[in-house]
Amino acid sequence: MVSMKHLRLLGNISAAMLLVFAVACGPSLTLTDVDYAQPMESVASPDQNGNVEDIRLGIRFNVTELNIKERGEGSPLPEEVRFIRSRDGYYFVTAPGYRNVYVFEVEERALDLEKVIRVSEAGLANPAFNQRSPYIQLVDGDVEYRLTKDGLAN
Amino acid sequence: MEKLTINTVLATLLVLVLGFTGQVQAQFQSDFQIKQNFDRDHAEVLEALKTIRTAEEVDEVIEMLNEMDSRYRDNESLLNRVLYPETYQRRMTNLRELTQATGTHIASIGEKGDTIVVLEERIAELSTDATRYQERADSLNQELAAMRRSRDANAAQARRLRQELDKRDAFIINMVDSIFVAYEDVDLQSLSPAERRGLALEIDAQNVMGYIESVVDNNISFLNTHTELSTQDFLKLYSVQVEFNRMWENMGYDLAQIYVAETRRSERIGSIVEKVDEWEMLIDDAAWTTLSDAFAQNNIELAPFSNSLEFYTSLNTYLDEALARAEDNGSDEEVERYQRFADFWFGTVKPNWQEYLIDANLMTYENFNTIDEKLTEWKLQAQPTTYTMLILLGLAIVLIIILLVLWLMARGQTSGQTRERR
Repeated sequence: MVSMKHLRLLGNISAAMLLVFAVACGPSLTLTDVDYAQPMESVASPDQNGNVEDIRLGIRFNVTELNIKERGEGSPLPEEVRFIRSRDGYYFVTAPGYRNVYVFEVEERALDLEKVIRVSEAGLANPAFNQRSPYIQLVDGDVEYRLTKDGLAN
Repeated sequence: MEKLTINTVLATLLVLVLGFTGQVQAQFQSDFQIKQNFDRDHAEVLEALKTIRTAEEVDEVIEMLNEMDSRYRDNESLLNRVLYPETYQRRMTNLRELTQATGTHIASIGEKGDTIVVLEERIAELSTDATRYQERADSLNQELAAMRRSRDANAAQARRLRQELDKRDAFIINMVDSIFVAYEDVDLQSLSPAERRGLALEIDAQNVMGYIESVVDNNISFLNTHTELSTQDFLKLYSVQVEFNRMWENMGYDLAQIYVAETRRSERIGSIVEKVDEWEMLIDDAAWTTLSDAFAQNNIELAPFSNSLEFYTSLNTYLDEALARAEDNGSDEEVERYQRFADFWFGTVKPNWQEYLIDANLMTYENFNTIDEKLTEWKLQAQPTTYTMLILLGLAIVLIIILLVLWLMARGQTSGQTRERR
């Protein structure tokens, strides 16, 4: 008679075997402690299709959907979009007039929205990102915000 | 005391407020803006370096760089990252080195400027004289035109006219030489086109090239009009042409760089070069023809020549043949030939022509010495064998025979005495 204890042991062994199998089939090397910090923010004007690009850093993405999310359907694109990549590899994006900072995680050929950080009810007047690892500093006139991928830092 | 206290308090508050505001602004400055500001300041310094002209402006740029350095030194780490692969220090060092190089260049231009001021004074002085000579040349040209029409024109008048023109030519060549000597120190290649234009504005541009061209024009006109001049006159004109050519080849292009606009430069130079070539051809023809005629008129038949090398070769061939002939057979006729040549050589060629032949690089002192030595040799060899010489030779032979007979007799006597003693 197989007891509960034996079943649990059998289950654990199976799980361990699956894990070993999965590990054997996956990447065998992980580089850790990577610093993705972009030294200075990128400032780019969207083209007529909503694409922004930093040729020097080699990144291009479309902000049309982001703008709709921030301002609603049919709203004009901002004159400039400011973005910066944090040490952890997340992109922080905002623009003058926006009330939020959008935090994106890098996926394969995609930026996946990780967090929307509300920073100003009236909208940012003249925002600028600074790299202040481990934070991203957002300044707007005399106001400063310290941001992480999870939101406003204390 | 109370007022002072209030003022002190207000001032303290103001300082605190300003300090606080500054701190806040400094704290929240955008890195992007810092980079933008740095790029802008960097571009401003570069722009200033392009336009500065004085040592004071160089000092101002150095001051700008010092301010820049104090403004951005705290952001060196940020700028190093965003300027990669350059660094902040390298950018600043480059700007300082550029400023220093510009300062050195301006100092060098300043020294050239001093030279140019002296030069301008000299040219102003020369220009006055040149104008005077130009007026004189104009009237001489009118006279020349009148002479061309007149049947009474003669060599004497032409010579007088030539002398007047010679003075002017010599003046122009000296003037241009003065300019050249001064500009040699300036190093035209180191000046920018704008700087060269700046120089040209200070100087009567048209006149300098005009004077040069007028020398050529007048000489061509003169040579076309007067073929009756003496060999000496033509040789003198030849030396003027050679001197002018030397001057033109040395500095013609440099002067054109200053005095002629770039668009017209090659055309202007081409025009003058063409005229100089025509002048050279005319004087070359005239000088060699008249020189050949002069020898022929003195019954000295030289092989034909049309340049300096052929002329010298022809003289040498003539003398070598004469020497060979004289060595074989000295005669009165040979002496006469020698005398004819020597009279012409020592009576006309050397006193009247040697100076100009040498000035015009047609012959050298060594050439003249060689001819002189051959003439001395010819003179010795040309002498005929005279009867006196034959009599003296006969007497000498008789004397030798007598002495020989006496010696033989004395020897015979001595031998007889020796045998008797035995």
